[in-house]
Amino acid sequence: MEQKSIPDFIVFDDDVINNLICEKIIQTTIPGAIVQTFTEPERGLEYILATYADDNSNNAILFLDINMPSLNGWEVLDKLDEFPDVVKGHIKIFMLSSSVDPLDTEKARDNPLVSGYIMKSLSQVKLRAVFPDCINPAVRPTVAIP
Amino acid sequence: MDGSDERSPGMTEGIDGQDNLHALINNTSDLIWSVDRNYKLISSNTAFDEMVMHMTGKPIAKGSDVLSDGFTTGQLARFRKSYARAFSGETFKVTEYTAVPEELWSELSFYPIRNGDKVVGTACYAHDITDFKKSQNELIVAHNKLVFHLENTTLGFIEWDDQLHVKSWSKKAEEIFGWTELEFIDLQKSAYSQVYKEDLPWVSKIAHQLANGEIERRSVRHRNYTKDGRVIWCEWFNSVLKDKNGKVMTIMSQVRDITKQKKAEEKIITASHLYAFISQVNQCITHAENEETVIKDACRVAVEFGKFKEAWIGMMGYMDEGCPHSLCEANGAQGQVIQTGNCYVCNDIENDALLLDWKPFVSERGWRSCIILPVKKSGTVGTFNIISSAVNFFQPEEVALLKEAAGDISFSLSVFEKDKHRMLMEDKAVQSGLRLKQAQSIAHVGSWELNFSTGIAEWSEEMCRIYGLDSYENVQSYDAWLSFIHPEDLEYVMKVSKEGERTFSNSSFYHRIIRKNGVIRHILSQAQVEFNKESSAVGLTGVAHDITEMKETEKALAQSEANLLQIMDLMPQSIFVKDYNGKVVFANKSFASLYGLSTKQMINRTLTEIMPVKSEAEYLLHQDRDVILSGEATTTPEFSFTDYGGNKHLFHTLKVPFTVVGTNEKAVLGLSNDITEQKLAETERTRMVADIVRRNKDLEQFSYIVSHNVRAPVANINGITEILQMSGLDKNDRERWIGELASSVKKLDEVIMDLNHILKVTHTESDKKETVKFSELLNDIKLGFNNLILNNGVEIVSDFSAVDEMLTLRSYLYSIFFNLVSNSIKYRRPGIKPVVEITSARLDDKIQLIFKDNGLGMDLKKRGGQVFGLYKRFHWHVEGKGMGLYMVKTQVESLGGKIGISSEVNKGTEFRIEFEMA
Repeated sequence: MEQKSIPDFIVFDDDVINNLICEKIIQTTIPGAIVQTFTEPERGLEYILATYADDNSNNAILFLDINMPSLNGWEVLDKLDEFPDVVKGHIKIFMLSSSVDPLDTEKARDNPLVSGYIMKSLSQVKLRAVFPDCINPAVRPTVAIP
Repeated sequence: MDGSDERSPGMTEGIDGQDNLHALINNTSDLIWSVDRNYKLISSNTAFDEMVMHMTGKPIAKGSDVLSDGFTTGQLARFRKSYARAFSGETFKVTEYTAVPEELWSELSFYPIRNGDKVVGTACYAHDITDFKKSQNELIVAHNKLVFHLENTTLGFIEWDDQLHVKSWSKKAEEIFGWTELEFIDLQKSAYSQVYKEDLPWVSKIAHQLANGEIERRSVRHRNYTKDGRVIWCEWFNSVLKDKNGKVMTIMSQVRDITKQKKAEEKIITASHLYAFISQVNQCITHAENEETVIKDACRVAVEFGKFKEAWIGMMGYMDEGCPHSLCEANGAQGQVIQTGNCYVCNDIENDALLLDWKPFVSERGWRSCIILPVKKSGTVGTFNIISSAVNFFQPEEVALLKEAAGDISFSLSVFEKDKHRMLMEDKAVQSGLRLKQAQSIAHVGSWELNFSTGIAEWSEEMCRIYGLDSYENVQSYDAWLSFIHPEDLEYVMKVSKEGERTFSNSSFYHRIIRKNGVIRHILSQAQVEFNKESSAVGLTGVAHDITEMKETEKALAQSEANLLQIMDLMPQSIFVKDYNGKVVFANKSFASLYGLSTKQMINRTLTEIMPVKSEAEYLLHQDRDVILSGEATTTPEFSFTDYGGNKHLFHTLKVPFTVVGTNEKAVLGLSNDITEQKLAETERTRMVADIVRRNKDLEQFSYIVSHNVRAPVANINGITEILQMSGLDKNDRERWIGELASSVKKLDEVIMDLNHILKVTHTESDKKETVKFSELLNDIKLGFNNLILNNGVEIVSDFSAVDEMLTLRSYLYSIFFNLVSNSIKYRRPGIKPVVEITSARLDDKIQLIFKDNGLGMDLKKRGGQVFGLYKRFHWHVEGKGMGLYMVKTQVESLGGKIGISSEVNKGTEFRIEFEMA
């Protein structure tokens, strides 16, 4: 699969400030990275389905918040699961939440679509822990919890 | 003939003709002769000669006198007269009758014989008409008889045509049926119209067969109607007349009224049934072994032989199997019979005021008449009820016969009664002698007889044994007896016995004796004075009862009972015995103190009388009876009881069936434990546990809030701080991030304020409750939302007619109304006029409030569990913190209520709140 070296970044969170922070952190850490943020996960899902349906599409990293009003993070995962494998093959998902509830981390660990659980907020250190894996898929990510 | 006779003297035609004529004249049996004016025979034929010979015994010769001897005077006179008529020239006929020597009728013809114009004699001709005359007479007689019969017969004659219409209808028929012939024909009545309706089916069949000639005659008996509407029994003899072609011309009916005969027959049958019944009753009585058999058989026989519809004997306090329950009660007619001892006859049950109870059986079981007879044993004790299916059945003769039967039954019952007594008495007498001895020894009773004249008493075997003597030492003096008396009792005994001797009164006294071997016995002595025929006292008889064992047992028993009572009175549990009527038979101190009474005062009181709360008393009585009737113990884990002071107690009670000592009386023994304190502690504990669980849940919820909602702005602050620390941020960028930092800090502050608010709700329960009117509350809220309502064209409809107020915390209820109304407006459906309906309802002892809107609604399948969660939001496009419904739920629950939701996307949402009524 021919790949660009830098994946796209997508953020689903109803918290506007968090989205701004993510954008800023990603762009400073990985210059040139494309960041798409969505406060409404429904729109975000439409975007993913439209953008990553092709074999030649770029890979993407999705930072997914859990607590959102219309669709929560887990529901977003259910919808994503129904997407074609081609789409799913391009997307790597990390939960990005402020919850310290062990139930949430367990749930994330048990979901095969989820690659990791990142405690808010996103920082350059945490992002770097995710990023190398995007260049070299053979290495599984290590989740850093500050 | 007369011509030939007239012509004969002058006949000259020839020998042959002459001879023939003579032969003819002489061979006829008719008499022919002629006489001259002097009564002399001129000529005669043989038959005449023979007749005269026969009549007179002498031959007559020509020329001799025809009026000769041998005829009777009457005959002679009649002949002379007839001859004289003939001599006067008259031709005529007379009929002559003679009975002697035999009945003989003849017709005599006289023809005068003329010589010129002078009559010279007469020719006579006699013809025997006896046979003719006889048959004519018979005919007349027969005719007269027939007419007589027709006029006097009981038979009516009716002629029908083949269409069964009347052709003729005799007088008698008119008498029988009332209709005249004309009436009947005019009315065009058919033969069927006067046939009784129950008989019509088979009668019409026969009439039809007669009319079409299938049968030629048939006699039948059936009932007919008369003109005046009576029903009579008729016997019909019907026969058919056919023409020569076999076609039916007429049906002849002869009919007679057999009603009386029929009635008489029925009467005979009834009478025979009654006699059969009575004779059977007598047989039963003779063979019956006991009362029950008599009663049972009498009823059976009444139906079987008396042909009655039903019969039963109802005895006071005795229920016969065949007797319908309601009829056994001694009221109405039966009550009257029992009270008066006279029989009651009803010939029309349907219209009898005293037998209203029986009315249903008229149609149900075909009851029409009845007789209720008293059954006596010693006094009237029951009724013999006999039912007939015929109206007016019980006429004086029947009543008399049945009275006799009832009398027989009563007699036999009395006999059984007396018999029973007699046997009992005999039995007693035989046994008593034997028993006396036995009884004395069993009961430790000795007897003695003292003769005043000797001063010596004779003691019974048992008496000797009681006093520790041998049976041969059975003769004792008064002094000897006194020597056995215990010294402490001696004075008393002497006083009592002296008193008895002086007054001749019977005495009974208790004392002790000391046997020769020093053993003390307790004795109850009784003495009775005996008198002779002259009423002077001759002696004393007495009994001595050794009650030592009894005394000792009594003492031990009294001691043990006292112990037991003391123990029971010391017990904190209530112990009681009550009888079936709730009357207290035994009560311990704890039990009595519940009623503010002493244990003695409790005895014979009923709980319904002394318990302050009647419903509790009734419940207890009911339970006691259940235990007594079922014979099974029962445990009531908790029973709320109000004592005499109005204090509530909770009791744990065990009740067991119990028989009161010394009686057969069924009662209930109960043991009650006052568990009020224990229960209170338990309730408190349960409440506390529930409270702890609830608080724990709250804490969990808080930890989540902390984990997420407090952390969210903190995380943002973290992130922004990291960004602010990056190099290469320009001034604008920096300021923008500082602005974001400030808003995150503000958000954190808001969350902390919210938590403070929530904590206030969950922990300030001490606010004063007040009566809050829903309508006023809603008005306040409407004012608060005034702008929002106006801008969005919101319609708020309310109906608090069912219930408009409740005792509650105003601030909470306000917050509940506020949040729900606010939610309904906030989550309205774009393009639809928002309508909020608020109604109240009363459900049993609950107040229900319903908030209904036509807004966005939500998918409860997806979010049902989270609707009332803190910081749970379902619509991203509308501003909200997810706190309102959490607050509503918290406040509803802290007011002791419940909240429920139903919602559908794009239809609307309905919240139902239920509060317990204060």
